[in-house]
Amino acid sequence: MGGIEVDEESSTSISGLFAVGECANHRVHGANRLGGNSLLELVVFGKQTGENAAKYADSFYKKVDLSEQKKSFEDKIAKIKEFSNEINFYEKQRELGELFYKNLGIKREKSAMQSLLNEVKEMKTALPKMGVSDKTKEYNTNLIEFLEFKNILELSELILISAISRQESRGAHFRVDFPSLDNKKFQAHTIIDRDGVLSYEN
Amino acid sequence: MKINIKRDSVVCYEIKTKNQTLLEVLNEIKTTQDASIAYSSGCRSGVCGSCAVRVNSKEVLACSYHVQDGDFVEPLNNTPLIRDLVVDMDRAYSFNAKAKAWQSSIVDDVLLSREDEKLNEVQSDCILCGSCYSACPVYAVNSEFLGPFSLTRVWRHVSDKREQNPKEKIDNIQTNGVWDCTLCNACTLVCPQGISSKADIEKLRARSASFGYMDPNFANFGGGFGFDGSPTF
Repeated sequence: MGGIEVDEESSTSISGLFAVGECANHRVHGANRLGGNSLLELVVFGKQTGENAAKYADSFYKKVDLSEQKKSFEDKIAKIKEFSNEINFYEKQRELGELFYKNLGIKREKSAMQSLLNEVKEMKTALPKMGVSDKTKEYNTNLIEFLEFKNILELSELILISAISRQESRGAHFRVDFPSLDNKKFQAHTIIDRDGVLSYEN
Repeated sequence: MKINIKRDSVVCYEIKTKNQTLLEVLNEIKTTQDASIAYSSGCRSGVCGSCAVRVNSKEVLACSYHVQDGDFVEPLNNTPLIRDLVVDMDRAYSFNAKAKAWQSSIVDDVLLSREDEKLNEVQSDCILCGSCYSACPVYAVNSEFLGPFSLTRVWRHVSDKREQNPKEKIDNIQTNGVWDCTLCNACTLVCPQGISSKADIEKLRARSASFGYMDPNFANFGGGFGFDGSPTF
């Protein structure tokens, strides 16, 4: 549940970037996406996304100068390769998975989520002490997995803020401390941006 | 327990393992011992076909194979090496396009019965892991050979009632195709999905014959067969 915000053409807020399937939020599932319904979503929006992406690829202006973006990404990667790698991030990732299973799984409660949020923030701060031991360019899965871990931490924080803010129980979100529905405040999708700014929309 | 992995040179890793799959062991090595080792994987459950490697000279899926002491692990054969256990599968994939391994037109008035579906159910299970190309001795010496999984996929469509123009498919696999196979069966033995490309190629040969094609290897005998069945030259 939850995913990248898309419009009715399956486009994200970045032109040319489309999202579909488990990574996207087409706002068709309500509070709990039941097994199998994901396939219906994929059949409908997969077709649409494919057609729209093909149209876009055919018509967009291809002479855009990307050197600035390329440079900025290269700098970021170069910086990561200099991280001290004292802490094994794979270990932290495993730890995070277990903590999420325990504290953001079936039963949720404010103080447990809050301490998990603190844990996530600590891991984010400790990132420069993690890093990669593989500094090569070719098929560097160590680097890719580290970048994924960075993304996981970013999303973890947003998921936790959303779950803490939703002070009710609905669908797969069961709050021990708020066991009933609150349609007045929360009959809506949680929309959150990368800075953690949150709104409820339908 | 020790496991040997072919990288730039053969590296021996010491691991604690109890009935673990090779992929689990690789993950353990990567996350606790040596993060620089490269291999591909995806679903971890034998569905996606991205983790095929060779263990003791036989193709296996890393996620399904259970590690034994002293195992020797190396990348797939007959395909360019990218790094460690990772190979470039593009060439093998390109044969599906070259063999036109798809349904040539959309038909909506043909209904498939359960029996019709059964005709190519096994062939539809191919996960493109590439084990068959690695094991194929013909592909090893003829890089233009369409190869096991793409020919299986052609049979999958030729045998489909919805295919309106099977002859076109058959026409397309006469050169570097069905007659180049030696029927050695190596592809069958390594397929994790229980598909026999060799058997599918035999069916394609029979279908080719019904469209008037014959084995060019026999044609090359010149005079064909003599009265007593021995070839004449």
